[in-house]
Amino acid sequence: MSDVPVPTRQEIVDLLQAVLEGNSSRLAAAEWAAEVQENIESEDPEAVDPEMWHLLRLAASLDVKSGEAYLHSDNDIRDWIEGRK
Amino acid sequence: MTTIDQADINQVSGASADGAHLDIDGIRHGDRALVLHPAFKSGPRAQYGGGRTPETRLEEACGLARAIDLNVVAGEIVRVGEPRPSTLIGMGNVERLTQMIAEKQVGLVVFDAALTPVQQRNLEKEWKVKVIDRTGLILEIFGERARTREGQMQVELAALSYQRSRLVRSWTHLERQRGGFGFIGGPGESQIEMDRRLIDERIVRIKKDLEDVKRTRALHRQARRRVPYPVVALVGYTNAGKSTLFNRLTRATVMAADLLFATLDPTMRRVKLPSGREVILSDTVGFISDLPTELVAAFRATLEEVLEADVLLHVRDVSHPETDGQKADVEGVLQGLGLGHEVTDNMFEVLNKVDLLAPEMRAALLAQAARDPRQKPISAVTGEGLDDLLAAIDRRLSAQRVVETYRLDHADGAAMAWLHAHGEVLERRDTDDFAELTVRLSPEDVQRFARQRAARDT
Repeated sequence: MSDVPVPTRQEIVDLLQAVLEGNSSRLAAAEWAAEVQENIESEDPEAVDPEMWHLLRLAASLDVKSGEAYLHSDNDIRDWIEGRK
Repeated sequence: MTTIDQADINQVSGASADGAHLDIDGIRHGDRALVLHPAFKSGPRAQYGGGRTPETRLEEACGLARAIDLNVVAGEIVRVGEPRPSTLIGMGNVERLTQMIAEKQVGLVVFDAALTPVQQRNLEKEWKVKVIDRTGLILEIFGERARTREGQMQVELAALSYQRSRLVRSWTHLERQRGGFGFIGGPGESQIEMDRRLIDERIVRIKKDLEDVKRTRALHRQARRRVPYPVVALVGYTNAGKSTLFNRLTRATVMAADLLFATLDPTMRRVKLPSGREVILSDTVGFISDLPTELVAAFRATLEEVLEADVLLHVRDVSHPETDGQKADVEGVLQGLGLGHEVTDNMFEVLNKVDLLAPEMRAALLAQAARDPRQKPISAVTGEGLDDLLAAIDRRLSAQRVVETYRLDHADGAAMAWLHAHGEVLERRDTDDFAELTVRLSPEDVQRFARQRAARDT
């Protein structure tokens, strides 16, 4: 069993929103998402939401840099939240 | 007593306090430069390989000099029968060039070869101008181009290693013995010993800082592996058109100039392939012949990451007269980094600049590429061949992954979650008894999943 509860899609969207609003750092959000990803031993079938997993995988790479900028821009994050990507 | 402060260190290392700009030999933008390429008649240095000629080497060296805004007022191939230990080139040439340097008011001589510290010092004495060799010039370019803290430290480390080996040249007071109280240096420590010690201290400090960066890099590397897109990396000889291709494919505005080493720090962007699959395109530093060993060592970690890409695009300038030599140089560096078949199997040769070829050469190249699916003729400027290139990347990535169908118990949330996390779930079909998932996975993940299920079932 996992030590980390599997999040819902809404929880990840809230986290992304927090990053956009500056209430969470990209690094902290990415670390959290990566930890959740690595602890996917949940037996809860409700956790199996493809959209949630896709968002989680994107969130886990929020801190990846390209040169001095981030690989994923704020606009990308907005697109993820709005389900455009 | 001698005090040591940052200014001393900068003077020795040739680096600014933040390492942002290396000024190894006091080169200034706009300096009037004479570029010399020594062409050896015999010995190991007589071999260029890959069809290289002294003329094209000289042209490349002039390009390098212009890359840091030097005003190249003349370039010359100097024939060398027997390399002279004291000046490399013969005294007749040294004297003749003395006159040219005066006439053309040259302030800097760039030697497109490796000079020993003694040769460099002697030539400076003869010509009364600064002299730098190929390594010094490339280090200077890298120093100007590095933007990230890590890049700056890597270049500074390379420059310090280079400087350390040339202390004899840099100082005219080498034999002066220092006495004093010995707080810093021991009694009688010579100036050169002190300089060497200062450099060593600085090297230790940078290496320590780089260790911290390395830890950050390891985290970044882990993070990059988490990016849910395959990585396609561009490699190639400097000025092969990597950044132009990058910009064309990503609609970005990475600096793409007709300059050698325009790109130094890796840049990444998302690109959509024809199938709709997204990938990360990564633009990296260009290679060059005789890349200084100090730089290869300093940038090793950066270069090694290229080899982790899912697909490698070796971008070549096929319009360049030495395209084959450039290809050999790039492959040499990649092999030095441990390029294995698992990488070469996923590499395309992108034959760029076909728009610049004469009709008959272009026809021959296209015919050759048609026979070899690994070769993709393109023009990053006109866009020719890019659709075919993207489709080929798409096919290659698909081939790297396999499609498997699994029947899972509805309550088996862990297995479903794992498949969603590691693969691309293409379809899910639910029956009363089970859920059937069709998933695209890497062969490694197929095995991991099978092992996990076997372990759980026993």
